[in-house]
Amino acid sequence: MLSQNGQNNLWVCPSDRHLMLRSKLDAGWSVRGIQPDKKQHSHSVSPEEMVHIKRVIARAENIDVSEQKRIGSMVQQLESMRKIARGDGVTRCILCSEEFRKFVGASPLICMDCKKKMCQKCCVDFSTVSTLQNVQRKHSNKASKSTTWLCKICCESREVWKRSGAWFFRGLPKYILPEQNPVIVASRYDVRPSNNVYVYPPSEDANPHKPAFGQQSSSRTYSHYKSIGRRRSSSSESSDNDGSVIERRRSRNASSSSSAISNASSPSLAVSYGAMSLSSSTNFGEDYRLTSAFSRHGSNNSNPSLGVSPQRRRVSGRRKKLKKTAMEEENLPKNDVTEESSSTIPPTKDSLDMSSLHSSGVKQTNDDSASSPHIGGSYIERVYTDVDNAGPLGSVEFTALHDPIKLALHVTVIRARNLKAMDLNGFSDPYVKLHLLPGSKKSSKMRTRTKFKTLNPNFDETLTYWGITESDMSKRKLRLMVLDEDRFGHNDFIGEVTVTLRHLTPLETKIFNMALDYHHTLKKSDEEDDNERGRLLFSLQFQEDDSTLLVNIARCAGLVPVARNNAIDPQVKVCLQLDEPGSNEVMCEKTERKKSTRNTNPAFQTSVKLPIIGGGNNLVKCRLDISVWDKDSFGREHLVGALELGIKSKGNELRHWFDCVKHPGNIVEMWHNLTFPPDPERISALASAGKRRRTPRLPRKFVS
Amino acid sequence: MKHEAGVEMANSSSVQQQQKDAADQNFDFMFKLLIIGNSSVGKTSFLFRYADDSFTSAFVSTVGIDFKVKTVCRQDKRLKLQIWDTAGQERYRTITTAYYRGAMGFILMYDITNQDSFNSVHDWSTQIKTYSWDNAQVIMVGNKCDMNDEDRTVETEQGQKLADQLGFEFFEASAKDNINVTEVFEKLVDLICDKMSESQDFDPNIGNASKGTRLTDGNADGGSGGCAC
Repeated sequence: MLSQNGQNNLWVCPSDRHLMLRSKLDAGWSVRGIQPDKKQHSHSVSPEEMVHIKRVIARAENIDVSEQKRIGSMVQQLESMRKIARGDGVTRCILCSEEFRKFVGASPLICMDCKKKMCQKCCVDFSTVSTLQNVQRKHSNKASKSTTWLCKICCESREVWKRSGAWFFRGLPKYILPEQNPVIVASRYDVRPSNNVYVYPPSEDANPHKPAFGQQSSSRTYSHYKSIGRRRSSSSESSDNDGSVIERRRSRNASSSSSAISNASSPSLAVSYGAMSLSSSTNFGEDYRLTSAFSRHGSNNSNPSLGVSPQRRRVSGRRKKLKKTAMEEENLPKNDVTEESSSTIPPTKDSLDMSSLHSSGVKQTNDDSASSPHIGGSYIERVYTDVDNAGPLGSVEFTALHDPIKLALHVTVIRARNLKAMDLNGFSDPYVKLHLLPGSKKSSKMRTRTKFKTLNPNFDETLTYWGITESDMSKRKLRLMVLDEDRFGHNDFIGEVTVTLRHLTPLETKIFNMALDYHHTLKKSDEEDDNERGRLLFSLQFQEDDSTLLVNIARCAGLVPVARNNAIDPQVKVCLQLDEPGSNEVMCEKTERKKSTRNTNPAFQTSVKLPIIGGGNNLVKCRLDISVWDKDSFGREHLVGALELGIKSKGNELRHWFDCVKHPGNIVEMWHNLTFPPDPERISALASAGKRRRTPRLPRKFVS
Repeated sequence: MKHEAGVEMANSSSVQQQQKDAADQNFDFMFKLLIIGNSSVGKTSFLFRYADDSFTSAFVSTVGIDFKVKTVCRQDKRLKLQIWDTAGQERYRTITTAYYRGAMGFILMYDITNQDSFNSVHDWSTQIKTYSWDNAQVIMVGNKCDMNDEDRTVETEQGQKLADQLGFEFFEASAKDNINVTEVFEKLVDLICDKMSESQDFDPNIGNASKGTRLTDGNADGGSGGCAC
């Protein structure tokens, strides 16, 4: 944190302040003058020593920068949560904007920090959180009798306060927001790479203490953190075990099996997905120019070329206003590097997210990479515009990016312009709703936060669909609807656009700027698909030494709420039993219940350990039932969907099971589609049987 | 649609870069610690023992400053420790004192076989008080406790007494025989963690305060219901 004071040349001369303080002291060297180790040539530092010290400082700067980046991403996450908060905290819940009624429902709670009112779903019991985290242990003991409540935002900001070190420095240290990535890349590599490469021990899932947030956006960003952490742990393990970890995710149609990436231990990596083949030689530095040449060739409107920064930035920088760009650069610690580096990575809002996705998708870890300089890549962005004249309804601008490795579709709604006024005051209260067609209305819809009283809203929100495979991309369409939120009654429809996802290129962000269209009635084929229940990402690890099966439930996507309201509180249950007639023994485990209301894409990152009945050799004969349950407001449980893995299962499930059995010790991860089982009674009997036979729960860590 | 190898290469190189960054950031808290003390009391050895579990009896004077990074788990939290090793020699003092300001914890070291180094402890503690944040934690360590009693010039009781006087935790340790090395660091980390838990002067406006530093698109959507906390 020292460089924050701008004192890079600290060894040259003590500042006046230091001297002043010294002179005030009646002790120390200034008084005594003579020290036993005082050398003749005091205050003279030889050039070699200077070089050495500079090197150390450069290393430290590297760490500082990455720390600032880390704080920046925490701050950004916090801000995105704040942006999403919709209520006023007086008559409506500060976060989810649920209205408090006088007699119906539970009374609102008041956040200890911001004194705003919130509903019970959006609050965090601070005392329990702190006990959980052990951070506030002392505090919670004191306050254990009176429960204190915090809204999720305040809870998160307290967390950031601690994690950033702000508690110590009594203010947030300097940080770099993810937008300013380019600076970081540049400053990382204009210094000599360090000789000491520390390989961290494979650590566990990121942050098990962090409270899970029901708010979609927060859980989204959070899951990025998590997945990074998890990937890291597996990848670092892979470097230890010489590439023994097989991590695969395959699409439901197995058509994209090419996207399966195994851990090649060779330093060059070859990844291919679909038509795109990704290959990189070991020398990244030389690819730099190549890149820009190719990207010039590949893009229509935006020609990213090396060294041309302002223009490039305007096109690729996801429409940040020029004014902003200019001011941003003023704000940056190193102006001189900005220009050059901005051409390497467009400073997109979620560039960190996207790139972290990329990074985590590719499983290759090269520990030498720390010492080999390479340069950040560029994303090509195309602008797809059909707005000459916005038309009567207005226009909407958004970007879409499909990541075939993480199976994620990121949609960033940037802004809308010249919307039709829907309210009497001549404005609208617009928000954007996304719908993936064909798909269940409940599970495939996501919305942005409402912008009040404007016809030109800037949303800048990224919504992510998880588990979107290439076959999904070829079949499905994305529908964006702009609606006007009406406080008293039905929300008004302003306009909509539909884009076919087929036109997206993997890993390429595409900007759309389209005129809104009038309402279309959906074709029958676009309507709900009854068979769809949602998707589940989990990994299996067969541990031979203690004959257990470790199941890590990573996340769910597109869960279809089955209770009457649109809310879903999902919980995953895992049951392992011998698939033989006459064996009744069942090992069951379940994850926590995600009280997430509208989040149909909850991230769990929960590991459960199931002992294999009769020893590890019996695993082949076992079957694993995984089911997702929703609880309605009366406390009844409803089966959302289930899947079964075993020697009798088919397709992806069989493959996953086979990989797990065949490679003990390896973590095998895959997406699966949930189905509604033909025998729901059996599943619920299993799940309830598990209640009696629960084995002690592991801490939420991945033991590998 | 023709696809360009260049894009992919660029992506993959950024992939590795980002992956490394992601790995670097896989921790909850970052603490900066500083080891200070007279020349040749064993600061560098102490750090090497802790970070690399290695020891060499050869004496190489530290040039200015150096640091090592170690990630540890403590109380279910992942902590990244950046441990600064400072030169004890007077001529580097301006460099080393500059690093006091960022440090959350200090290890003030003396050599139990060197009375001079013990006598300077008071001076070092004054240094800490002068240059560091007032809530920085300090542990006083008497190094080289593996030495036999003939060589010892500072008794344990003396050290303990001085530590009590100054209000520091006290350990006698040996980097050579790996005595109390981990314990010292763990204790220091615990002290900082406790301090963190106690810190109540929480400024709820973090992030919000970034209004000044972070420039949004100029959309004045501030009043539209964001949590004002």
